[in-house]
Amino acid sequence: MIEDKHSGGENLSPFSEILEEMNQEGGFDRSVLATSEGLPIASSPLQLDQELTSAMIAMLQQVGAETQDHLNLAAVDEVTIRTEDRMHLVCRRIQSGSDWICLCALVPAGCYYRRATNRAVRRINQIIEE
Amino acid sequence: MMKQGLHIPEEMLDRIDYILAHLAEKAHTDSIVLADISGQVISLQGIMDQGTPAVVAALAAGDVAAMAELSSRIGEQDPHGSFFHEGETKSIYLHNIAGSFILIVIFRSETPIGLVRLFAKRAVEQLLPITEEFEEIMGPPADYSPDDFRKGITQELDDTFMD
Repeated sequence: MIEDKHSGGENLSPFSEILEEMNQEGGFDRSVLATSEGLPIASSPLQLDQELTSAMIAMLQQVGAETQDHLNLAAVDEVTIRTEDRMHLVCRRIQSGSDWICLCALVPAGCYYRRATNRAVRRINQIIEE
Repeated sequence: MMKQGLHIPEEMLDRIDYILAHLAEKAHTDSIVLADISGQVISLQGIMDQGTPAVVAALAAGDVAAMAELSSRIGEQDPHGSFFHEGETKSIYLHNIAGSFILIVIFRSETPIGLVRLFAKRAVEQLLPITEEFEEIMGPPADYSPDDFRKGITQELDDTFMD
């Protein structure tokens, strides 16, 4: 065998931990972090239907990008969908170098989400920029 | 023809190793190989059997050349992209960096592809300026044809398994 500098795999991504804590703090049902292409980075709970969630993220981000283009607004920070039963699907856009990633949370009716997602975005940024 | 024996300044190798080590740690990869575009190993992070990195790098170079050719055949202007093979237990992510380096990331299939993609893209952004320095030292990357790669890979595999 040659060179053994790193061998990862056993440890959970710190992103999963951040999502778990965000869900607890905000009372969210579930959340996912994904790339701009909709590829899953982490989720909480772990057994989330990542493909479905990533598809929602891709759709919401496209809406955000089109709004930005058509209305000539600054970069989109958040896209929210509110359902008839007052649940929210919240997507936060996080810059990562020349690209961006997306934090998406499913928020039950009556829960506040901005503070919990803000905290998570800050922590995610720290990990990316380290 | 493949270049025989890369002589890269120690300081440049240190920077490359630092970037790859960071990627390995952040993305929970099994192993990472950085090769030049002809398939010669520049740096390795992780565990691999003796001889395997050279074979992996040579085969990846063939894949990258084939994909670049395929891209140009369908009218793609910039062939320097990335592609991903999803395996049952291990997956591979390949990135052609400015036609100079090939980043080969091997990771377990349970590792989210987005995690690898996120940090691999960051690593590519950091490796990009190093490709320019590398080209100044080694000369610009040759325009390899698939035939050149086939011959080069055959030679590399022969060299590896004849040891």
